[in-house]
Amino acid sequence: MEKNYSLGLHRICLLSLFLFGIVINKITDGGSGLLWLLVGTPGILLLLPLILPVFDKFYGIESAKSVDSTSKKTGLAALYILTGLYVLWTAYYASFRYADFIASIMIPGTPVVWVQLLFVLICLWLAMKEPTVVFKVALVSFVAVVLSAVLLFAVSVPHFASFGSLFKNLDFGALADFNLNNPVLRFFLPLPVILVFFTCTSCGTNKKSVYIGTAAGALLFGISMLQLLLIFDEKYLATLDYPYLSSVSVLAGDEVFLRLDGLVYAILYVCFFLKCSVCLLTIRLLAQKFSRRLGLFVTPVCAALIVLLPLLA
Amino acid sequence: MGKQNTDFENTIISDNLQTNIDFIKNLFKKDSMLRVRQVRMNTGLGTGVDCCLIYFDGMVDSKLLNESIVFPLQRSKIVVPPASLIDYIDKKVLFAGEVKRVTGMTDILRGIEYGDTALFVDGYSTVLIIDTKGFDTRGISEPEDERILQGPREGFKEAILYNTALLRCKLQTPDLCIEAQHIGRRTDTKVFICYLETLVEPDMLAELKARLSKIDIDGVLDSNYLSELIRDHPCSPFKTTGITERPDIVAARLLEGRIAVMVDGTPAVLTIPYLFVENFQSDEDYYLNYLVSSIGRILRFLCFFLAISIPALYLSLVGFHEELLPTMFALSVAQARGGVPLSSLLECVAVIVIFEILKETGVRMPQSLGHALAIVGGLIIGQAAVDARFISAPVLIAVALSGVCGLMVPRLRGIVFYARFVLLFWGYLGGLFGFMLGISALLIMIFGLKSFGVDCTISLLDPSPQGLKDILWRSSWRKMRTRPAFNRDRIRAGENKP
Amino acid sequence: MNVTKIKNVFVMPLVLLIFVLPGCRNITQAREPEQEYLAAAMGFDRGEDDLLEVTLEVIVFSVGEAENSIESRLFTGTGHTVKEAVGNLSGGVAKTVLFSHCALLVLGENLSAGQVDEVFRFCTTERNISISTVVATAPDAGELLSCESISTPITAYDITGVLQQKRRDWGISLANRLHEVEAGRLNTKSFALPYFTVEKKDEKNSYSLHGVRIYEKDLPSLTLDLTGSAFYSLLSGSFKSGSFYFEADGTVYQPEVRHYSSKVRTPAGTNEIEINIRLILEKERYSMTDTDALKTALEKAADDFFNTVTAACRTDVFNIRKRAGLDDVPGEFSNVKIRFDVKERPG
Repeated sequence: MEKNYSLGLHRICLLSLFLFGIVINKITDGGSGLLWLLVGTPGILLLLPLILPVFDKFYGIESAKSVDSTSKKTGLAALYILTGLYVLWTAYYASFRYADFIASIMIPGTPVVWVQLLFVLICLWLAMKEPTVVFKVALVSFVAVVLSAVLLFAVSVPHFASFGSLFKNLDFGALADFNLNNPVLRFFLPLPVILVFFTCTSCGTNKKSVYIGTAAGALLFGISMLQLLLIFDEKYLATLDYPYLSSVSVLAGDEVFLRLDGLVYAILYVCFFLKCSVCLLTIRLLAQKFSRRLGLFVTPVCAALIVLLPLLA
Repeated sequence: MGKQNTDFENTIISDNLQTNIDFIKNLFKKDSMLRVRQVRMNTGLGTGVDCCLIYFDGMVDSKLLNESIVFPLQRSKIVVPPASLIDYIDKKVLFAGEVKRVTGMTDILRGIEYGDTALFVDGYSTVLIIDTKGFDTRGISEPEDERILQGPREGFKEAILYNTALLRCKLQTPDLCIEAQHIGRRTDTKVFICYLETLVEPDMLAELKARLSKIDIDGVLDSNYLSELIRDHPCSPFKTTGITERPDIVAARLLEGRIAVMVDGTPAVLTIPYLFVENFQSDEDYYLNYLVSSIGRILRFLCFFLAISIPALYLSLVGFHEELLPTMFALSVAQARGGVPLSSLLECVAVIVIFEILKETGVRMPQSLGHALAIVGGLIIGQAAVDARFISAPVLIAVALSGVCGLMVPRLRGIVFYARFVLLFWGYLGGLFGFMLGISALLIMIFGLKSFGVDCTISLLDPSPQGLKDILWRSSWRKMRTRPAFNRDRIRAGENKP
Repeated sequence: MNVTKIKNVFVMPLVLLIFVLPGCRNITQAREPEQEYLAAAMGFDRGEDDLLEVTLEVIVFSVGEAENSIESRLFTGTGHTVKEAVGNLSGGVAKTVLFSHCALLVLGENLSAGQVDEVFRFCTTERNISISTVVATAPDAGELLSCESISTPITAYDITGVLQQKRRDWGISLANRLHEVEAGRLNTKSFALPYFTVEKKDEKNSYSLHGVRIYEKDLPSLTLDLTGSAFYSLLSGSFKSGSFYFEADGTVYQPEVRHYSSKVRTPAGTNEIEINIRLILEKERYSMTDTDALKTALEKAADDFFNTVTAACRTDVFNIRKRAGLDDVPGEFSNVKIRFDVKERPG
């Protein structure tokens, strides 16, 4: 008794959390980053109507067996392998970055590889389940993450410098500078992965949910960046390894001495957990288009590669 | 393997009375409760027909047997041709509520083993099974584990036939279907599958029947035997079949398109599918005002989380993340722990084990000793242990709070016990990271649960306003117009505008 | 391949791997809360042989007593770096020291620039020290921390309490949290810290807040009294609310400021900078006629103060360029005008 649920709301939640995870990063170009986000997000939203049909066409095929010609099949396989490599790289980067955060901040003294291994194993477990489980986790987590992010923003308000100083220091000239380190590029780089995932899960790319999810993710990230830029001086912000976490430390030091770091830990965990799981699940779904057994085999191998790559490098 | 009723499916019933009597006597030669009562029906012309009543003493209603069967048989005169004798006895002679004509030995054995009387007539291979059940049953009482403040207080009994009567009183509709099966090689236990024909999912029903038919076991004495044999995820600590002793609950679940499985000999009835949110529902949620019951529902969700998390969070914060604790709190904890010989983890484990022992003892012991146990357990052990510095007060408070929260969700007591320990170890060993890993694992398990093809957290897949109105809280009956999402007929109520 | 077996293959390592996390390996080492000291404050002085002398105020408690069993104890250590000094703490430090609850950092006035840099390097890399820790300065940091506390058993909390009180009374709200000081060091190479002095009375040390000390390039350059501190806050944009007094033309003024705002702008086509300060005063203290006199007196006093400070300092201690948005603009701005807009709070 399988019913097809539209899962539109779930996609919005998953997409926004997928993008929001970048909040862990160092912010070396705060003011221009915010500008780029304000300008780049509408730009990406305008490009999406052109991109989505391409994804539907190439990744919406249910099984490679339904493709007639051998050359098309080979082309499809090549495309999926390239996509898989990109997804693998995204998963590796996300898991390594997060494991590094855990090993240096939360449980110092633990080798990064063990933290990464444990984390990837849990993500692999989720990836071996049905995609609906991921969507459910995303739905539940989204509520918690949004509430936490908004709460942190609200509690930070007394510590803000004036808005005037923020706008005075924004460098609009930076908008002309587009390179590989551009913050918009870094923010939207994982977007193709989640679009592939959406296409591979039965219902295709639900356009409305992709637009709203992208906007929601950008909004969440924008709120967090605003919080950082208003609390910290931009030069000082660039020296912080984990600025979002540091901004929460500023909220401490009152008589109660209550720290809200736990919320940031939870936000980051959720975002990276979903990111890594979705990447592994995408690999599995792509492999399953050729053979179900291939999906069962390839996914754990990729998970192992994610953990071993830092050791081999 | 032993003898089973079904072994005699192919046994031919002789038309010779003595042959049949000898066969049955031989089958039950070591059972001194078998009774064989021979009766002669007269033709009025000096001839007669020999009959024999076979039953088990203690299982039949003797008065009914004597007055409604033996006496009429002896007093009546046969006035019909031999070909119609069985029909004549069935319709004209016997004063019984139910009479079945059977030709198979299995049906005869099932009948007499359940309190019916078998009437053999010399010269005929058709046997009449007469309903003479008269064994004692327990009276209807409120189930101990499902007490409510307001609402019906009936509970099922061990005898399955009475249970079906209780159910039929709630669901007075021809849509109610009750299909019988027999499971258990030696117990041949009656199992009734109950459902509403127009609401049930045919695939789910077929799946249930298929699983029941595959059961190969010596005996079924309780519905939990079936539950463990037919459930999805056999190794999961989470339930995927519901269990209740209340007819109103079974009726409510049937009205939502579920299937109930009654087992003879036990008042516990299985219901499938079982959604995860049902663990947080109380039986009286729907009998109290929705605002009051919503508070209870929200508290149960909160208490489940607290029950499994408090000890783990305490250990992870104190061991790894002291910076998150207010300074005075951190100092209080450190001061309280001064001089305690055990590590925090061992302290927690010890206190949890003691708490579980006290809880289990409280369930098993006589009620009159319950007060003494509370005083001994709570005051003496707890207070004395803290004074003697065997354990620290913060740990005692954390575990006690966690334990009390766990009592709010009795349907999840097993999972609370396991999850608490697992999260405790993960939190102690990995701090908040380990704790979050544990919570993720728990969520993955919960969200991956299925019950007979139905997603146990189906409301999360379809978070429409109607779907969510009976999850975290209960909305008014005016607004709960639809059934759960796995139903093919979703609408259960009209507009009901004031 | 059996899917259940595959699942079991992954679940087992997951369960076993949890034992590689530090909690298990360190199971016999001190991770219990009673086996760690909480440091409430750190003081840094220049010790003998030019070494860094670190004074730690740690919170200790007595086991088995219910109330008033918390007190502080001082430990001192020296070394070339802060880490070395902490490692050499004297006085029988049997436990690990945790810095996560450190509320105060005190810089002694005799620290060299390199030592101040080392202090801040340690504080920013030591992950447990919160970036909102308050930083202050005193002639001798160790002496300050040894002072008898007034209202709480822990001197550090006492001192931070005094700072908050002075913020209310004098409006002296400095950017002296660790992250603000670091930001100042990065931008203008200057920062201002509250300055405490210590007096000996009846064989006991007691402290008081003298004012503010301005640091330039990690060395103290100017000390201001409370009135000067208030003007410093007014001109640097960190004033919140409170009262302060000053003298002008033989008249003593003590405005009580309810609300303060400050803007720095450069009028177009000029190389002047205007600092516009708006004050809303409590009506009960002043009538309308006094307000004008106050405005004039404030502008004159602020002007004099500004000129004195900028003459004594080499860097932009008031952070004017950044506030005016002139960070990247080369050249000097010679003329700084200070304008006050004083109003009474509507009754």
